[in-house]
Amino acid sequence: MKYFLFTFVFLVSIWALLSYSNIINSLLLPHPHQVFLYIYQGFFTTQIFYKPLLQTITSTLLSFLVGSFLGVLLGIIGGYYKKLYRVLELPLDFFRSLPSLLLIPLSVLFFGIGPLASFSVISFSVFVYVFINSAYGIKYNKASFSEIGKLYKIDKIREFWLILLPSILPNIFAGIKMGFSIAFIVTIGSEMLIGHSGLGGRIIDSYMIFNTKEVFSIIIIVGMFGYFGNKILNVLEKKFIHWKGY
Amino acid sequence: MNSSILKISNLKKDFGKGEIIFNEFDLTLQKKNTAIFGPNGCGKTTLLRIISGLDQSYTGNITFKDSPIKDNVGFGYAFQNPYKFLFPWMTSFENIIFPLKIKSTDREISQRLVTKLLTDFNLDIPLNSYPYQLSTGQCQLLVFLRSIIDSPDLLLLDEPFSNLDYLNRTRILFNLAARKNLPVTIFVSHTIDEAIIFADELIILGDKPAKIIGRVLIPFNRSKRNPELLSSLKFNEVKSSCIKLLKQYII
Repeated sequence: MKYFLFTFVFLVSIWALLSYSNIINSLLLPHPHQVFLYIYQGFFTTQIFYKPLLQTITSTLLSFLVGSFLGVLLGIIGGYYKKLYRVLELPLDFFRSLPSLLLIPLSVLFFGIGPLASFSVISFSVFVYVFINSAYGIKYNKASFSEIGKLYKIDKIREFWLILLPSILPNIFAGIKMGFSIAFIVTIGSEMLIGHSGLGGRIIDSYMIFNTKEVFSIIIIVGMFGYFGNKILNVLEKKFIHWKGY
Repeated sequence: MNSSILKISNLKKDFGKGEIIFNEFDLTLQKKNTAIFGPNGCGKTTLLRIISGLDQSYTGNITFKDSPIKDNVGFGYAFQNPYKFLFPWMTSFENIIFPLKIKSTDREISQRLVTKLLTDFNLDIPLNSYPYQLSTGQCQLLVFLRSIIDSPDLLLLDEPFSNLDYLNRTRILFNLAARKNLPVTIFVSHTIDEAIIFADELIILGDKPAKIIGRVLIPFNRSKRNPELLSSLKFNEVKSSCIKLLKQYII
């Protein structure tokens, strides 16, 4: 926490130095107090940030949850049925290598300009990562763990709940963490592309009218959301997969 | 006719690449506690895995108490590498009672069985800790306790105490040897002393492919064995007769 505060103060000081001394034009680099004030007002007086922030969070979380859920479910099935995995391997590897935003135009053609267009692309990109990680977990599951079950003639259902599922939780969680970052990136990206909604749309609007105070404010807000989102996932991981790495 | 406890006949097993582990290998066990002693890589662990059914890629016949060994035999198995064979997401307690959990044993009964085992062997293991919080020796004890918690028909011990200090190891072995209701046990060991402390009969294996070099009956009454045995003359006589059999390997 001490280091955290130190770094924060240090970075803001550099920003203040460059900005208040007019080394960088304040139109390009607004003063820190202006930006912090703008954020404060954006939430408490003008309230311009509520709606876009809510849109971004909803879009991120909804597609993240749907994509993760389907990814874990189908990933486990895919890990069990090697043939299914082999059939899906090529398209999945292809789409994993593809920057998801590239699919936005196609999605808009199919679903029209609206939440469904971005939702389908975002949840699909999350799905790909979570699916691959979960399936890998089952596929390369530690043989020694299954052997303990085999020795005691465990039935398939208990084997899954008592041995297999816990043993792939680290993989699932690795996929989910990556999925969250992907969901966030693609959400903001698609908002910027499709426009008029969320913080991604808002930043394009403010950039168009040269409102750098708002551009900076949005960067800070978005950054905080991503930062704390990842922090929360890390805490959850430590709690539920405390044995990871052993 | 002598009835055998465990009989292995015409066992063949290889790991491919022309590496033959067992070739027409026969072994009949007639004593309740058998120790198997042999050099690294001679197939001791493979033998236990074959007997337990974990390794099924072999040919040959195995009978336990004169009927083919299969699903009706309850196994206990103390694996050699404890970290690989403990569930890291379960506490010590959960790991120990795993076999009971599979049999849907009442939790209170499981609790009592664990407490009894710990008292029997005079062990102190933090039951609410996770394996990664324990020492290797303690993890080995967990694997060992798990292998005997549900009173198996056939107990397979693969170097079960190799990470314990000498005193603890010896104490537990004496305790185990004198234990009532001890199941039929095959104990793989790298130390002759341990084998003599524990077993009724010691089987010495040679390698490539595995063969029986010698069998030594241990002439001590198991229920009366105590640490004084270690310094007795007779103990050393038995030990030297074992070493004689190993001469070709030592020189």
